[in-house]
Amino acid sequence: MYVHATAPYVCSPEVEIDELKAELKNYTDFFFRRVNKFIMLSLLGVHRCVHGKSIDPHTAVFLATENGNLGDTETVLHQLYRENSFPKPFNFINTMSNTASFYVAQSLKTLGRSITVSSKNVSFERALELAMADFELGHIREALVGGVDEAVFSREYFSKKYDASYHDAKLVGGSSWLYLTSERPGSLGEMSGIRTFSAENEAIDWAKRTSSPGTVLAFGILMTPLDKEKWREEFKAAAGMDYIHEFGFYDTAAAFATCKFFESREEKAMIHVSRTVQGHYVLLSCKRQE
Amino acid sequence: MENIFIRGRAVTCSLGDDIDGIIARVRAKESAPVELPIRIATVSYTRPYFRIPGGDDRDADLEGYFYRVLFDTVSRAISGAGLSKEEVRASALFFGSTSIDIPIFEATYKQTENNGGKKLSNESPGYGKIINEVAEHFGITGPCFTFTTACTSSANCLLYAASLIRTGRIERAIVIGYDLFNEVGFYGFESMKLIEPFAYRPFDKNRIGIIMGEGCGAVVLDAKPSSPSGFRFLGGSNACDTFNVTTHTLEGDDIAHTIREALKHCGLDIHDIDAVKAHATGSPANDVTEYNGMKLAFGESLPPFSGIKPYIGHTVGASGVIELVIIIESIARGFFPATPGFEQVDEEINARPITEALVMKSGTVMLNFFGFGGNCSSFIVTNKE
Repeated sequence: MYVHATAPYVCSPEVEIDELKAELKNYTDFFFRRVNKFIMLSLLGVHRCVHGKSIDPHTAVFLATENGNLGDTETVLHQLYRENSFPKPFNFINTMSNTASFYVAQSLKTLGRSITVSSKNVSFERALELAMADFELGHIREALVGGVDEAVFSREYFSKKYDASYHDAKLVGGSSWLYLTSERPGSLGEMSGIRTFSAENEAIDWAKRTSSPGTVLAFGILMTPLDKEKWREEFKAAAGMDYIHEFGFYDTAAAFATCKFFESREEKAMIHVSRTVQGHYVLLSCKRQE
Repeated sequence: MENIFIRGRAVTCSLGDDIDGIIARVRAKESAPVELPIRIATVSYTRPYFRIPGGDDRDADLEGYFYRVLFDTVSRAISGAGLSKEEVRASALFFGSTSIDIPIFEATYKQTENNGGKKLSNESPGYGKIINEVAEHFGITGPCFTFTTACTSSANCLLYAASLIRTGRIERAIVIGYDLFNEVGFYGFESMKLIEPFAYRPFDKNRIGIIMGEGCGAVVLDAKPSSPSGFRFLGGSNACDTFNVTTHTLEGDDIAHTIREALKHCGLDIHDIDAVKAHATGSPANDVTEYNGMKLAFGESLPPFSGIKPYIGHTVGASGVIELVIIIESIARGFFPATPGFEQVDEEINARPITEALVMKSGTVMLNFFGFGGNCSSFIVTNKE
């Protein structure tokens, strides 16, 4: 899977939908009605990624999200149980998170695969795995893979959920996308592997075999300071890329890290290490075109 | 192409959880919808719904009931597959659902104080929570995927589980489709005037809409063969019809494209398909679109087709796995199910689903699923040599 465009994007939790809409107008004239913040985030992220590019009409869309459309689900619950009224149809339709990938496809006029997928703490990595399988089997030649989530509003819940070492991390919304094709020429680089390990030493061994001088390490939210220290020691030459500290956290932020790596033009390769709630290690490796 | 075997399967639906009993009732064209109340503002009436029998205690402990149905169904599929403890441990997990944890969340929400506010935004456990609970319960350490693509959710789980097996990323997958009754969906579809108040009758001239149902299905897809199944999952396709978020292009172009792609990926042509399990929601627009799509793809060679939602209701995101299990278990017992409720041909489309079961002991069958968000999925299974 070769990377032909990337767009990392994060925003303040308080950003209004109209602000997102205004920003989106810089990238597309497509008119969107009755879309919520999650959909608008998805659209802004993907249009930032492909702006100025010609997209194949059968491009697949893989939207990774941890939480999906929270806002409209809450609105429908409010309509039902607080207002004692029927849900408004468009609110109800938007409770289904694949409406976001639908609007992405509609606005880009792509008729390819359209998948919304989630996997606790590694949603983006799993979406990439699905895309990789489709590329390998020759089912697709182009794909847009993004990680989209609204900001977590409650810091108390954030800390409880992640037992996080990032108590001071900014909580942001995000929508970061990669445009991938099977063609190497003209690419920024490639997504070279995604692997899952149940044992840390096996994960480290694989990372060592995969890495080369100039590989940067980046870590998911569940990696503790001790974990990270251990990994950095194992990769003596590798610098760290602390994107959560620098830019803030959202639930599919591994997408942001990957896009940021390709945007930064500094390091040659990156290995992103996530730990799942089951204690497995999910490693994503990517490298820049020489 | 490497074979992928359907090793074990189980279903819990409105016809019960005993597969022999379920298929006997399908053969007899029986179904058992109940009337559920719609009470909102000043209106009060009922609409039919296909509810899992029993579960009188569900309201007292909705979360407990939710996981009991889920774990029990998965447990039966694992047992039917004859998986060893190690095989279970190493399996990947796929979960497809439209509502995911909304039933649990709305039960909680109902009990919160007025203006429960942003509870969901603040405390969402994430879509991945349910499948992680399954992993923990069964001691499974493989990767977990949750698909939410509306009515195609678990159909897409099957497609991608097969792809990951085929590419050697995983050896085996337990694929689950699960949607439990929730008022968001029930009242939501009613607000769109999509619920049929009378009898479920896909493709019939007098069809009005869908009748929803709840259910859980689980199948084990495996690179290793096993009896007694004998069924193989050949593959399929997914595409997005961007015409409208709730309906597909009337002409059915993208549905036809999905069907053709499914055939191509399986290395088959239209003459290889012995029967089609249509999505057949019974909604006036969707049945037209689907039939037009089938006609475009198959032309004069359209095989016998049937819709099976009148037996168990439209189980939305769970329908991919549940309807697969019902189809292959019916064929395993010598027949391909008929479409109950169909009586009068709609002259506008002239669709004629089978109204009597076909004798079929072995066959290559296409199963189609089309949902909100333009999602189109089609896959093919066979028990032929």
